[in-house]
Amino acid sequence: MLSDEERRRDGGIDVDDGERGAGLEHRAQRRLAAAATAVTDGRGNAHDRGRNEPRDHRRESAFPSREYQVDLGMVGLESVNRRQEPVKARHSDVVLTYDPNPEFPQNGTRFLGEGHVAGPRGDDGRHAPAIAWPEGPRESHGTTPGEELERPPVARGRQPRAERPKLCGGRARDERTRSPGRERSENLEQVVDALAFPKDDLGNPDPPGAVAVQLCEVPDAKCSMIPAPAGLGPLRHHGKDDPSADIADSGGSPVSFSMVDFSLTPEQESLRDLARKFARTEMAPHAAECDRVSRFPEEIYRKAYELGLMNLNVPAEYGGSGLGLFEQCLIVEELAYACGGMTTSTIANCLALEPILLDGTPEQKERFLKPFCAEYHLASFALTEPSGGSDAGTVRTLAKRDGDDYILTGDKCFISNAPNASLYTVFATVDPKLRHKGVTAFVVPRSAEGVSVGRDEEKMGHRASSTSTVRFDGVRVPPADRLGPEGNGFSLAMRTLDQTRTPIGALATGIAQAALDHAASYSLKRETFGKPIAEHQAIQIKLADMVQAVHASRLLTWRAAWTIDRGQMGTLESSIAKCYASDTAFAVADQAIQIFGGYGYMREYPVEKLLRDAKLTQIYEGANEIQRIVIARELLRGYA
Amino acid sequence: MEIVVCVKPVPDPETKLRSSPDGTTLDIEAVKFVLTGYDESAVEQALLLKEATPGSKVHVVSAGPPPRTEEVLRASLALGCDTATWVEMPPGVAPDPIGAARALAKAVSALPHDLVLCGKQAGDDEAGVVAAALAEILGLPDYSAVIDLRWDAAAARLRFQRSTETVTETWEVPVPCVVALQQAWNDPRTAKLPAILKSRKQPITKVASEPAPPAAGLSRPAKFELPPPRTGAKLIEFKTPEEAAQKLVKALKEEAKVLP
Repeated sequence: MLSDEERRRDGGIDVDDGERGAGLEHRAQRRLAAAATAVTDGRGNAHDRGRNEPRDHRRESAFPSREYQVDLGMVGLESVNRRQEPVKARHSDVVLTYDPNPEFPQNGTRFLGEGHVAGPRGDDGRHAPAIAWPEGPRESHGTTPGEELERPPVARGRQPRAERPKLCGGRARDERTRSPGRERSENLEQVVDALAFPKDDLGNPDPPGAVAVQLCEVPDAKCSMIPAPAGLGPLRHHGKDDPSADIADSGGSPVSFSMVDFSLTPEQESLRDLARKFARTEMAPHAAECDRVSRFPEEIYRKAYELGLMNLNVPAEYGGSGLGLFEQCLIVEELAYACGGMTTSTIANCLALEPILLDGTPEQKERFLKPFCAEYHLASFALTEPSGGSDAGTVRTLAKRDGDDYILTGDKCFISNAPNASLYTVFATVDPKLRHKGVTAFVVPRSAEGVSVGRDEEKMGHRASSTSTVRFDGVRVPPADRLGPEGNGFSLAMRTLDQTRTPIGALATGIAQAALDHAASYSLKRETFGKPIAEHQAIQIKLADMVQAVHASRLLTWRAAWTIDRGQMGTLESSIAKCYASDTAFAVADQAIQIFGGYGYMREYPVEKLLRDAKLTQIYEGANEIQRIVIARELLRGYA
Repeated sequence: MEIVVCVKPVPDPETKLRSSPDGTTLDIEAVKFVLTGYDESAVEQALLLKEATPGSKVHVVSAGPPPRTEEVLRASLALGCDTATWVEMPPGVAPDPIGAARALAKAVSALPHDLVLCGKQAGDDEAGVVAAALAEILGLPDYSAVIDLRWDAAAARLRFQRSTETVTETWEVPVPCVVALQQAWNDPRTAKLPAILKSRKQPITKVASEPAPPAAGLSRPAKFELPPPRTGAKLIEFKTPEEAAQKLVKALKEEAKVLP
């Protein structure tokens, strides 16, 4: 076991001048050695993915991997600051060293810039970019590699909002379209993107910008070309109390291997506990009855609203809960454990309001979201039409220009919460011949003249949720209620579903976990041939397969949410999560019924409801066939 | 009115408990500690009083090791307490009741306190000592097993009830005093999501525990055993009440052997 001093030195932090060169040399050698032994190609030949070997061209296109040192200021990253010691994190291409007490820039490091790591939502309510840079050139601090620098003034700690550099709007992916006036190396740009933190480390929706950051490049060629291993997640919570830290630091393997951590922060645990308590005390006792008589339990949804479990994705400034996707998923899984249908109705607002969050102007957000979130209201996302659901480009609801206004005419079907909603986000076309280029999104209040709602559909599952058609019969909509420009609607719908697909994975995971729990506990009680059926291998094998699939669903869902929370598109990850988790929910519920035998087929027992509820998760928010098309497309894109 | 409410982190009632390897306490590995039971009722009572008495403040105080103590303080903040004070003990050191009373007294005496509320007893060890010991150290009167506490601002009197098996007493007392409350008579509220998020960022005042509590406390159990696992219940199937009674009597005689 290394002493703290040795660990810090080997970690590349606070190396004093005399030892710096030796320390870097030592570390670089260790890493090269580790890379050489750890990375083998398909033929079993070890090769160094460092300087000498040809690299996979996709990785080549990324910027050369380097080790950077990052000053995190002192706030925001609780897991870092609690320990007050360096923490390392790894993006797919860089190893980042977060140090809460740095003296930057150190001798021999090159100052690249400073800024703020933003929270998951920016001032405008969107996921903020990974780092927003202060206005004005920072290049005055930059020098050639190796040149000694004076420490530039760094804002330490949380600044008053007005004094903080303005956060750039949009997500990290938008950040790539930075104005050309800002001259910054491509490398730095990508480091900036790499710094999108996992949501649960930052977890603070208010204030959205939290952490002052300096980036310093360590200009040591020897350790600059070790790409981090592909396919591994972020690295965090790496510290003294992490037993794996010692293993990694003393064993000569890259530090990055030790830093995946699936534990939740205390904050996330309390959110999950809240949802669990609500689900088990308020929802579960009514789930069977609501399912049997197809009742929409409005009193439960009101309570969910009162506790802040409804408008999860709406920033706090507009009256929502302002959670990142990861936290949303934690909550949704707990709710779905008690009742899938009630969960669908509880989170339908997230889907309906997401288009306003994505493309609404500040004025529209103020006008629509604030009054909506200030009291209990439901909203519906109205995209699907009788003639087509998955083929969103063929919207037939017409938005015909009449002066400045639009006149909406058409039918929407299978609209969740529609009978009880007071607001609809409607996707219509200004010209059907334009296909997806004509689709345009509008916000339409239920009270608008010409809006009518069909009868509540009789459904197979999710019977505590309401679903109906919505008819728009010459509904006049002012242009101020249009989201984004004309023709923006198709893209907006797709981007919305990119955000809301992952929670469906969480919802399916909750159903699957419930089925597994019912089946496992029943198998210990039910006896055949003189012993509990859990002692028969036939049942054990079923249970073993079920629990594997449930764990995989949860991890895929978490991974997708984490990816999107750090500002990436996450299309592949979220489609995999939704598709796999929903197929799993159906299969696991099916096996649970099998384990229950004849009782499982009876309405009196809870598992047949789970199968009916699980079925919908394979269909809505993009049928699983569509998910597979998306997954294949995203997969093949990487090989083209 | 300045209200101090004392809380203790206790194992989540839903946690499966095991005794420690040396058999003298709980094995706290993988035990989740929560605010529950009597203490939850005390926090609820404090918040009810605060809501009924404009200008009041609720200060929550707890003594114990990290991280469990911080968690119950944050849970109390999320419910609506205004400030939190933590008498921090070394990791793994949980004070015995007298140690806890001493530590709490130190924190309480540094806070404005018209009224000190405690649960009647802790939800885990159910010692029921802290409130009385705390009152003794603070030199205040102490009332236990209290329900339905109200503040009569005009008369400057606390009114409350004590319910025993035989009689319900109604009391009117002056402040300051220490009041130990019955459990869950007041349907404790659930913290809302925004309040939970906010509570994670609220400051907690830390007070050093001096002198450090002796590792074993003044008193300590010699042995700690969990109750034996319950054996399964026997279900009697029947068609008529007569048949049920006959089968029950037969089972009580022949299987349970509690009837001759």
